[in-house]
Amino acid sequence: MPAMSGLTAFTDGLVPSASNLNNLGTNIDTLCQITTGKAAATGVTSKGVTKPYKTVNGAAIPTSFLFRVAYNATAGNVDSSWLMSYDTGVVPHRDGWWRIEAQAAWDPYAPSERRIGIAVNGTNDSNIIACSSTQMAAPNPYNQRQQVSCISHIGSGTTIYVLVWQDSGVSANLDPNTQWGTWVSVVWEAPW
Amino acid sequence: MPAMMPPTTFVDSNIVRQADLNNYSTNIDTLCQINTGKKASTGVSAKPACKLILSGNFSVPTGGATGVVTWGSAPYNNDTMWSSVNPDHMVIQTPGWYRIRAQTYWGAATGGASPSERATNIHLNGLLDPLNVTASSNLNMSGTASVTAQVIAFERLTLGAAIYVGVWQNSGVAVPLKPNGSWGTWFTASYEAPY
Repeated sequence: MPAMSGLTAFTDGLVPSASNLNNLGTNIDTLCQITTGKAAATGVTSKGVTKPYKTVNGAAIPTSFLFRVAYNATAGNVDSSWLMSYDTGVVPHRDGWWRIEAQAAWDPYAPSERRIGIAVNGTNDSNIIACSSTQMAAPNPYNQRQQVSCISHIGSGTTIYVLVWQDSGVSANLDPNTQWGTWVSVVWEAPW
Repeated sequence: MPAMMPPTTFVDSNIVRQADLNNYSTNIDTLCQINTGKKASTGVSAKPACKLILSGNFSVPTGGATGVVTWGSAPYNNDTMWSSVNPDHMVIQTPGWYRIRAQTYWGAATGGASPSERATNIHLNGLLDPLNVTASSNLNMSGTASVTAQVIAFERLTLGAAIYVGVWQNSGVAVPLKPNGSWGTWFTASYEAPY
């Protein structure tokens, strides 16, 4: 993208030069790309924003098994980054720095570990980027809630997953938006 | 809001068309709304943001219903989202996506039980726990010492939406939330993207 350039001071009675007028247009386009990650010519009206969440209690995450969280709905979906047909992944369609935040709300089980991490382009431990949380869960009957947050350099088409793990000894369910909530937000922040 | 449009390429010695100049204005106004949630004609100069802090210790009783934090002042409040008349919540004046954060610094539960819970919630449009809770942290304390919790939410908020910080603990004794100067208890919300 072109760098911003100094503004022209136009003067009454003088014909404005094309280059000075075009400079305004270039600056507007650069501001648009800094703000949204897209050129003005794309007809953009927002930066990338997606927030899938769970609407029903469930998941049945097996004990001691790294598991992808699936979501049921989304509160925002600029660029169609989340699809019901692929409910575990969020795919940004703009290169740039993205802010990723996620929450897992666990049903109550025996005190043991609860983990949540954000992974890109894969669903193994090695795909978890520098963003994870491990907590000892509160004893039953308390639901455990934990969050993670990071800013990452993400290329268009990269798939983002939220991975969870627990070792309570039984399958564990995650809570929906009416019970503290299990969600992920993926928001464009700055150009590549 | 109008979508952004491609900038015109002007050519020397050609007459500048009104539509091309107006295109610039429309694009500037759209950029203004993407960044701030408001039109240029409102005279906006910043995106909506608010930060609330305590003016002293805030006591959280043990057990019972989730309590709501009452804030003492707003060091930053450029969209009149908070008023001391209703000091326990912010009210959204500009619809949009907001990043909301809260920190609670819990003082020692002197004489309290261990283990016990410290919960910090961000509530949207109501105080029911968990129905109105949109983001939450609960810490399972293995002692009675001080502890800090942070919670993040990212929400699509309409005009008039109300956001609160809820707190709950079950140490067996009242526990104070500490104000700034003692690590701090605070609540922020800032506009991020158009509704």
